[in-house]
Amino acid sequence: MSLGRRKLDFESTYAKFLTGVQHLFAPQPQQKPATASENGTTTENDENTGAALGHPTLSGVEMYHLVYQMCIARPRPMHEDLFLKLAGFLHAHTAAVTSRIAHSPTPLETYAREWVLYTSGAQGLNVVCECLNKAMTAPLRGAPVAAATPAALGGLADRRPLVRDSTYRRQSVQSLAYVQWRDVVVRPLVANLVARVKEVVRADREGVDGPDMACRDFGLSLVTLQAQISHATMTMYVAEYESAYIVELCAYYGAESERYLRELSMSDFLKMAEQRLDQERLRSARYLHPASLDKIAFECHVQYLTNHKDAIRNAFRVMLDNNQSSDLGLAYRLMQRIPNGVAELTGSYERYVTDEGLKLLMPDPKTTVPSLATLHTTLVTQTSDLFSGDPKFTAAMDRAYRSVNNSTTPPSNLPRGLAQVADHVLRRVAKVSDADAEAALAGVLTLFVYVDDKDVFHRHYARLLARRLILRSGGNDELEYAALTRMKAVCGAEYTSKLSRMFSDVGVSAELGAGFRESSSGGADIVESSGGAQLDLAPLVLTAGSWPMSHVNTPALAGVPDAIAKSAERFTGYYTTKHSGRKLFWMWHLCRVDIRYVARDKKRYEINMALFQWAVLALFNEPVATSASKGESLTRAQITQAIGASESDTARTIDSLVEAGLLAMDSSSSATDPSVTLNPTFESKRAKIRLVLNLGAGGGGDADDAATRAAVEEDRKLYVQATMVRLLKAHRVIDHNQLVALVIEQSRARFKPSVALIKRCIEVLMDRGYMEREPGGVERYIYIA
Amino acid sequence: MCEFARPGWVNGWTKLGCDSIESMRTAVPKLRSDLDADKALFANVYNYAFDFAKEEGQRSLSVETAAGMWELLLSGRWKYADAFLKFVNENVKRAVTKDTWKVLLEFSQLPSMADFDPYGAWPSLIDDFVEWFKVNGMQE
Repeated sequence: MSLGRRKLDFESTYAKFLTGVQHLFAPQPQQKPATASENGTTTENDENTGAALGHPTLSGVEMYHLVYQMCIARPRPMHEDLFLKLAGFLHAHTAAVTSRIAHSPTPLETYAREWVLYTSGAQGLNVVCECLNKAMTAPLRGAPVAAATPAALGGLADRRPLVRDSTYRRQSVQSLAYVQWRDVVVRPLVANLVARVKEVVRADREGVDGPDMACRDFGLSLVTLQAQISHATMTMYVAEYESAYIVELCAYYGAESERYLRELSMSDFLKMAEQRLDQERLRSARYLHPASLDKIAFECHVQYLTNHKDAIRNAFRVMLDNNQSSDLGLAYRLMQRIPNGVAELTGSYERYVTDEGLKLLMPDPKTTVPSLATLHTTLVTQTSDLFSGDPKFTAAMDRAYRSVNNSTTPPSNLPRGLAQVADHVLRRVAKVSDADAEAALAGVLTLFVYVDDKDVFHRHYARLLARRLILRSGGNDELEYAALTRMKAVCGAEYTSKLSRMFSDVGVSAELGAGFRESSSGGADIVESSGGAQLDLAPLVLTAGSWPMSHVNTPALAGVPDAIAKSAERFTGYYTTKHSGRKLFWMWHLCRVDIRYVARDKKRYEINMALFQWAVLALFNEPVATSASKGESLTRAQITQAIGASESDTARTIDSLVEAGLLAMDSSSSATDPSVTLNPTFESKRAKIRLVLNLGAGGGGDADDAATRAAVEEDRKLYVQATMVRLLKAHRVIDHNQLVALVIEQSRARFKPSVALIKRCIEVLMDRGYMEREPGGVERYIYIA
Repeated sequence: MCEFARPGWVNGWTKLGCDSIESMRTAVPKLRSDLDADKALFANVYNYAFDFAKEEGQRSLSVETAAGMWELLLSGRWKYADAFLKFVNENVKRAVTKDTWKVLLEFSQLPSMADFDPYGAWPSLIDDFVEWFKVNGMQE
């Protein structure tokens, strides 16, 4: 084999070459991998084939050499002739293939088979024709490649020059082979083949197995064909195969989903949907190019889910009402697949939670609060179990709870209710275990987060806390502090500062009391009373401003029993030496005394009562100088005067003592000014008794509520004004809308100010000269320093 | 309230060339027409009226006096004046601040109630009036 150029007879050379080519494209009788033909195999079979064709087979190298020679032949290279001859051969070959496929009972399988053979043959041929390829494509080096064109089969803005006066363009042999296949085999057959594919797929959906591999190979062949021609390899595949698949899919699943929706319950529908979607995912992997899978999944979701999202959404609500957990989880999983699917569900969810919450609002907070708290816990668990903790559901629940907690129809009264329930728990009214108490308190604080009017809650809580501390009815300090810490976390330290101060006051007062007792003024405390009893004083010093009481408007008590008054004086002295400059004001109506009572029948009782009550009883303990009687029966008027309290306070005190049985109404007294006596027949089952008396504010009734609300309004006005001045100082000049927005935001931890309130405060501040409108517009304010 | 200082009185009338009741009488119609023609002058007079009408030492104007002044100044010049006065007489108890007084003039110069922006920085009295008007004013 020489490499020099020489004269060749084209026809005979080509004839020789042709045998090799035919061999390449002929089917192998045995299952040999097609690529082996590249080097012209030397098995027996090849010889047989070669023999059948009537010529000895050629090796790959030989074929290569032939091509080479033809390309450098003298006097003129024969590559164009060779090319055209090959084109002719391929054309004939593919025509034969076409007819074979068309007449086959199983066209898809035949196509697939033929395609495999053809591609391997083409690849082999391409390799041996390397020289030819170089010759054909060389002048094109540097020339522009045919641009990618959209869809249509063979629609190619091909600028490659034609070979001589044929219709074939200059290209590599492989490219030529594919073009032939495309034009001769695919173009006439594609519609038919695609229709067959559709049928196969439909049958597959019904559960009938079909030639899925063949279909896939057909589809992929379109990709390969296109790849040879342009860079947009998928266009033909998409246009012919994929789109047909999708159309069929939409029609099929559209109909199927409608039918299922009609015939099945929603629960079953969803199960079917999930099943079909999963099946289709697997199926499409078998039938399609991987790039199509996402599109397919999307279309399926559209058919099954998006088109029926209204039905699913409504059914979701039913599922929530009936607590069908598995269905709920399934619905969530499915709706996650479509865009905004979850949002559909959360809307339904929010309404459900709101409705459930509103149903639980009862007049009595002791039922409302625990049930709302329990519902909350249940929902949180449900969200984490069924909806994989999706924050959108948590957000929906938060919104719902916010509207329930602040609802006005029916009124929730939660600020007050929560404080009452907390008080109830902290006072250990019901004998529950520590864990239960903690849980109850946790429930209260969970709901607290959602309440807008936190300042109202604060007022009630402070009032009740003060009562607990003064009456020493709170048992569990740990719980109290836990509650405070939680509140601080939500609202900030400023919110709980007063409450913490109350606690510290109690602690400080205990120390003070101990110090007082040990000191000279307290220790040797001898009392000039007939009993000669030692007085044990346990003072509680309240920091004014931190406690919800003030020394203004306290019920007066001039006639404090001597013993107590003297003790109090001594303590005051002690305190003033310790903290000079501070003033003490005694709140008699909050003081309590422990009394040892010996009844006529010699039974002894220990009674804990309010100081006011003792003041009245003490009158019967010693003769009253002012009255003419023996001091055993006194009229209300006399008592009032003696103790120096208001009429209503005295009346209430007397009534409470009568109710307790310590005093008795004197039947012989006049109706207009009844009198009372000590009750000689007083007796009680218990040896230790406790009397309660509420004077002044602090009852917690409706009138009290109104008073609290009014006080809260006042506080809010001041708070808003203070905030506004602060903002004005910082901004100097500020927009109306900006000011309003900032005020609302800064108040958020305490309450939600209404726009009307803010405007009112603006007017007040303008009137007082803190701010003015910017001249010109109506919308901006200037701070006046 | 409603006191003129002597120097102001004397100088003002002198500038107009009036020294007797008759000459004052003839001058008044011209002053009136000036008020109608000159918007800036009217605004001046309107704002002055507030300080003029209020009591010594008070910051705000009592409702009754304000209503009277408004009637004097705005009736005939503002199409909603009558409705506004009705509203004030029936519903307003609090004293009128200077800011409200001033802004009312701007409000009266709005082409129509539809131009009113409820989210704007209008004084609460005007907000209340618009609310009231939506319910009541339409029948007038």
